[in-house]
Amino acid sequence: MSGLMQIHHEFKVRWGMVIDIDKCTGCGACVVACQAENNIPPATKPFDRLRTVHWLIIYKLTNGKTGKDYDEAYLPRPCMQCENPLCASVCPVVATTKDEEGGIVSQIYPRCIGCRYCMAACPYHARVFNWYDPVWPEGMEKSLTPFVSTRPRGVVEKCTFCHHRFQRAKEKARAEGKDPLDLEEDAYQPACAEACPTGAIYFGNLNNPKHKVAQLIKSKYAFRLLEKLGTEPQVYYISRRKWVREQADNEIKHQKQKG
Amino acid sequence: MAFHRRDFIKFVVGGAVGSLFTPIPWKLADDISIWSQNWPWIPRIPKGEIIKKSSVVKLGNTPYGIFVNLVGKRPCTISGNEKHPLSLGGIDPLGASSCALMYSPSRVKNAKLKDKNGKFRDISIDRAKEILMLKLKASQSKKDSILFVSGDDTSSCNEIFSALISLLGSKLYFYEPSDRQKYFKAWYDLLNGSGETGFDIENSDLLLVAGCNFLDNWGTYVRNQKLFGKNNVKIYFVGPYKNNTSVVSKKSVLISERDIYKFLFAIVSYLTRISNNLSPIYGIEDFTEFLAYKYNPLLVAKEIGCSVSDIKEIAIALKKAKSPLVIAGSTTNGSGDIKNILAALILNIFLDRINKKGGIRCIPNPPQIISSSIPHTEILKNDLIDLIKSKKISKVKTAIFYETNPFYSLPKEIRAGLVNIPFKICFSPFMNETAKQCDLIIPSPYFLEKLDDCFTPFGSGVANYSVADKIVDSNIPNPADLFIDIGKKLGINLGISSFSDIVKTKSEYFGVSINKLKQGYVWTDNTNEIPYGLKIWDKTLEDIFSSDNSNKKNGLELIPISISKVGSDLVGLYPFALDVIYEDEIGGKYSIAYINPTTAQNYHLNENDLVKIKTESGEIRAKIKINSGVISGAVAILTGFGRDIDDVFNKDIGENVSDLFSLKRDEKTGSFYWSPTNVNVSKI
Repeated sequence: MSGLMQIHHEFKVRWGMVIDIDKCTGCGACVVACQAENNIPPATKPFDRLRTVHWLIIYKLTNGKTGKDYDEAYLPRPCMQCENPLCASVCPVVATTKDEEGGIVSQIYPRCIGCRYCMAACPYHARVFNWYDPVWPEGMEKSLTPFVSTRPRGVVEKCTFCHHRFQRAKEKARAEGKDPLDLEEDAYQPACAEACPTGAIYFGNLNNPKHKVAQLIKSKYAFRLLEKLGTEPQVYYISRRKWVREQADNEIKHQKQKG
Repeated sequence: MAFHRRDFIKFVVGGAVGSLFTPIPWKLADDISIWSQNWPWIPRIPKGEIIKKSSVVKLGNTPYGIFVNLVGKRPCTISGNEKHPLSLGGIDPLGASSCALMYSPSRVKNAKLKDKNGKFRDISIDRAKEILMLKLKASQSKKDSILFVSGDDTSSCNEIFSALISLLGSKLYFYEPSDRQKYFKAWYDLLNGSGETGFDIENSDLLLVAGCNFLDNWGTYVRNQKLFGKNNVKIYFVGPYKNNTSVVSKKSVLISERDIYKFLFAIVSYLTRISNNLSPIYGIEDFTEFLAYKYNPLLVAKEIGCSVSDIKEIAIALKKAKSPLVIAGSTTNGSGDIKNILAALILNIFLDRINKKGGIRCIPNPPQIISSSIPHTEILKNDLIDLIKSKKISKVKTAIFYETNPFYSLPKEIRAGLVNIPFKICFSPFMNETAKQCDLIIPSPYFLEKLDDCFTPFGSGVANYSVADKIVDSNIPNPADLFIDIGKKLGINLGISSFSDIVKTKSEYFGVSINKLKQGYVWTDNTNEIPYGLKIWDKTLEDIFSSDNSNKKNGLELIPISISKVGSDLVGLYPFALDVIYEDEIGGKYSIAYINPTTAQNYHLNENDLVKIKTESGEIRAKIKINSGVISGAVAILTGFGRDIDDVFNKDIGENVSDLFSLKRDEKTGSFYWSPTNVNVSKI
């Protein structure tokens, strides 16, 4: 990480996700739940990259083999909420930062000037730019949620771990006289984790040993994407399949290793 | 007063420094950034309290319980209902998008009548009701001149529809062809079982899934997914392509759909050799003798192209498991050969898994409130394809389709039989292919706009009953109420005054208040009905399995892939569907055809080649994708595209695979199937 500007805060609470790839069937319920919850307009043409916005996408992985040895897996990819977010360090207007207890990388739409430095900096392609104003097919804007404002043209957006749910959980805890920084696991779950029908997406406080995610990240099968970049993502994956873990660092076959 | 150069510099520097410290420019910059993002054409979000209400979504291949989150009166998101036995808190992509779908441009909101030029014009609901009544009245004097096809095999509305139809002299009441019907025929007719088959996946520790996409479109798939994740159930998969279930299975064996029953029998054959005690069930000795010469694992492995070790490994896993369960099904609902299902049930009987924890459970039939209605089991026995292939279809003058879409999903031969019916009426919430083929379209309320109920969908573990209340205001009348009114006008008393009456009576029958059910409570029954005279083998079964339909291997085997994220026959592609369907799944206006590298080499095909896929029934165009997850000698194509639905989501996407299906009949069982179909592939 030397040479890179680092924004690294120590937080008491670090919300994180563990995705068990061996349980993911690629059904897409998480993606649809995310889009509906966060007022992301539905795509009306397949793969129209200028008009399609995704906070969460699912990659299909294959082991490249044939016959009986062939295998495939699905890898859902939200924002990694990195502990060293490269996006935050390049944002000239502090529209994206990591300064709130919980360790979620924020995205403040009114501040965003659309320079897209953050998109260039993000090694996970987790950020999307609104090339056009958001449009819902006629009548469908009636299904908008009150949780997240719609984003206009010229603004970058990304997954926020459904931050509004975090706020709601904290408010509820305060109202009940509980510590908002010591939320129970079920008190705050993003839409994708809640929707996942196989329970492949676990969510919780990585610093709280009572939360399942804190135990899961200790598994020998746990890994993160592009770990060698030192971004320290707060999203972990689990797979008992070696070939899946090997693809996480995007190693190219026969790649020469330094050092 | 003179203004010198020094004064000017002081003014400029002072102004600059002052403006740095005053909040005004910063505040203005902030405000401008906010104002500039609040243009009137950017949709505003609603404000208000979030209210959670229970419902049952019936848009996909299985109904399941959900909670609907409403802002004021508008539904905005869906969340799972953990206590609902059909979902256990899970949702599927179609369910997750159901709030947006309610406002879809493809919704039918007015009744429509087709004119002589084939164009629809809006008419009032009262006029539509009048026309429907005239058609029903006209059928009174002619036996079996009215045909009813219901797309919902769980609702009590079937009692109302079938009662009126039967009192008007027709017994032609059908559910759309499905795996449920095939299971019923196999279980009830061929194995002497009672009730319907239930699947106690909750208590199963190992599943052998044969052919179907158990975790994505088979039975109660939302519940299946939840249980797989929660209980860490080991899944062994046998089928023609690597589907969503296979991806997370412990082991997958890829074999042709037409060979699945042979693989299952080879397992039994192996188990009979290594087991000391065989279940003392009727026919077991004849069965083992038959298996020994016909389904020896060595012979089967050689014939179907798998290894003997695959058969042995799965057989041993089944033997070692505490509560194994074998589930078979079609690649798309209702399309496959009944023999695969029959063999799976026989394997379950052999493993002594009937009415056992984690096995097959006998589910009792639903209560019948209206005595004149056609019982659910009788409807299950009625085979729509049988009717269409018989001369009886020529007597049918009016067909009524309720929330079903046979003109999209069934083979062309069946569609051709239906299209010739002189007058067709459709109850549909969406303007889909069937609605467009009909002469009269009567809008059906969306699931959030009506009171509905749901009794034990196919794949359930136990009998269950849930109720969905009307939670969104709508002027569209419930079709069941429409039928009650028409009955009254025709002088036929069904014994109830409204649909809510039947739901209330059923609630009382199950001993639960209707209000409790409306709030999301589900009645469940854990008692098992004992199967009567269940057998494992007899001469009939021997005849069935002595014949082999799989000899005709001309061209490539078509594998229709059905996945829930593509939507359902009724709905088509839904809002957000195009966000979860990926580039290797849609080829623009062409479909995507997956073939494995060996097949590609044999047919001289390369990635992205444009091909014509042809059968005697029809042809489609597709782009080739090389995929090692498909068996050799086969082409796998995603279903659900090539729709004729007027909305932005379905326009010009892929082609309809069901145009290729050619209908076949298993002579011994009398059961129809269309998967696998043999196809010819040629480069364009």
